[in-house]
Amino acid sequence: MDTKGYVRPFAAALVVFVAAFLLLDTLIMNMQGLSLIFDK
Amino acid sequence: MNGPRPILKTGLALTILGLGLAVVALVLTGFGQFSAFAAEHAGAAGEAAAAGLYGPAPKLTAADYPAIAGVNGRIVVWIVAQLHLWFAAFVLAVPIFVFIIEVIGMRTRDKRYDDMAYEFIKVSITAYSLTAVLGGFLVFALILFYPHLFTYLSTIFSESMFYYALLFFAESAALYIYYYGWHWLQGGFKKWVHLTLGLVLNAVGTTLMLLANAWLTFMMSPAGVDAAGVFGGDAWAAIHNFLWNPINIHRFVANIAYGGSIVGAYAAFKFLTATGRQERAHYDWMGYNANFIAICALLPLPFAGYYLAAEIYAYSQQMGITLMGGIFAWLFIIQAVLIGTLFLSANYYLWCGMGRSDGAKRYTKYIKYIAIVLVGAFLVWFTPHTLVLTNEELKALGGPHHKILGPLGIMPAKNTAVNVMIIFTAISFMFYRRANKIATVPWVKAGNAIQVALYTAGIANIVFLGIYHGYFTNTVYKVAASIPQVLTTLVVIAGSITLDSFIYRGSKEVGSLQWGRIPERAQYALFLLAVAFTWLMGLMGYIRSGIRQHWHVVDIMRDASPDAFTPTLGYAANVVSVAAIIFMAMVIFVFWIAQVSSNKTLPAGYWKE
Repeated sequence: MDTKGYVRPFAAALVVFVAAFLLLDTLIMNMQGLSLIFDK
Repeated sequence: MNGPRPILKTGLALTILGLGLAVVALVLTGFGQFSAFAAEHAGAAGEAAAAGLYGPAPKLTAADYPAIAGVNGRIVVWIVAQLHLWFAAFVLAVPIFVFIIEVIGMRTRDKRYDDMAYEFIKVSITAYSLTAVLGGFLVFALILFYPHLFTYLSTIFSESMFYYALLFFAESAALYIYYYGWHWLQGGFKKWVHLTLGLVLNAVGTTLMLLANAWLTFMMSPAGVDAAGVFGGDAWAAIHNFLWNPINIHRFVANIAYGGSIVGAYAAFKFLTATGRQERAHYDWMGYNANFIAICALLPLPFAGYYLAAEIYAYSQQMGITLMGGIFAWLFIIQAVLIGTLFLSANYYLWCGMGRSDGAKRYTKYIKYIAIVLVGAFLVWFTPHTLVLTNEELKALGGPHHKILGPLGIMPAKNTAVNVMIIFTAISFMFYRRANKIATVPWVKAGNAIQVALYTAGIANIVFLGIYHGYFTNTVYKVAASIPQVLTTLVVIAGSITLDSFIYRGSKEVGSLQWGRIPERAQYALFLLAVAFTWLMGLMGYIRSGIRQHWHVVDIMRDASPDAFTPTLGYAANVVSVAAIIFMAMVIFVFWIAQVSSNKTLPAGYWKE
């Protein structure tokens, strides 16, 4: 397995993307986010 | 002599363009003006209502529904309305992507796009006549079988019905000039005139759809009337009812997907009947583009449908529960099977299409994994919540829910499944696009690693949201979690396309694409796409209309006809299936007419041989 060319960028990108998606989830799932979408 | 002519030409160009834009602007802002007009006159109209100009919704008895020649009015209206809607969806969608393809042809200066756009619009011309004929038939059927309902609705929507008729003339004029003027309005300035006509055609067509949508959504979520159904005089309030925009969005997207699937079937039909290699190559390319259009619109369609369903719940919990938790819930299982079929056939077509490139073999080894995930998600999607069982089966199972599969019957599992299906369809499409390319950037390995990380994180997030919020939090979060799931899917697809465009910047081609090198069975996938879409629209349209149950206009005007009951699902499915068969027969006629119109027979001596 090409550690430098493939595994490292993969691991780094995975950490970044997971963190970004969790941040997105948190922002939307907090009550303010919910009320923005569901309040009439 | 040459001096003034360019000025004259430019002036004329600007005038025609200005006129075109003015028409578009008038059409687009028509609602606003209409609204302002209605607002201005609302007071006067309210007084008129108070003075008894507008009566309450009629309270009917079975005697108010004419029996004509022993014909069942509901079945006639049901089938004719469905046929009209299928054709209308097709003829409204085709000019949208024909216009886009024409623009692409103009930008790329590739005549193939222009030829394809012309062929697409040619198919829709006969369909347009059939749409109008069926629309007339529907009006007559409504007047004959449901005279009081029609009178009540036409009182409220008198102005919009009048404008609808005018717009229909405008659309016919724009369509016929757009089609018959295609070869006349070619090159330079004339092409701009033609494109403007296309824009006007689409603006008018979309406005027509919006008006018709207002009438049907008024029946589901009436507005602008009081509890007794007395119209307050504000036409805009009646048009802009609660479910109008959710239906508008859902229908607009669905029409494009549907239009793509029907012209895809046309291309498949032409491919299978083609005799020469060049002709096969042309129709293969056309089928690919049609499938691409259908997939592009199919991907956001579940979200638009989910939004519509959420708004139905928001408007009336009773209607929402009837929709997915009551009698119609099992039709959603059929819906899941049909949508799963759509995804599988669209993917299958892409996989077969990869054979056009010699470089595809690098990716074919991954197809089986995509297929496994798609089938797995498909199975989750159509797992029912509550099983229909005999007493013995109930005893053996210990209840109506299966211990292991039962949890897959609720929406969080299905939302997760559909998002995963969409992402894997995007992967199929990415492989298709990559099949004929070789990346030349030095960071290709790192780029691919980032790409894989994006998909991995996105899918993990969708599954996490589905499991955690779907099963370990309360209902509000269950519903809310669908929003970050959708956003994750969109981010993954948009991110992947962006990354791919950088990775393949300045890429080399493996070889020229071999259009026409596709197995014939792939064409049947295109047919399947069109048939599944048609049947799906019929069944889901029945659900949308059926959730009104015994009301013509929900809570305002009761249906007192002998047919004011919800039929069994089998009966409803049979009616929709018969309608779908009639529609398909008419579509084959449309394809045949398009084929016949290009046939030429050179007579030896006319009738004096």
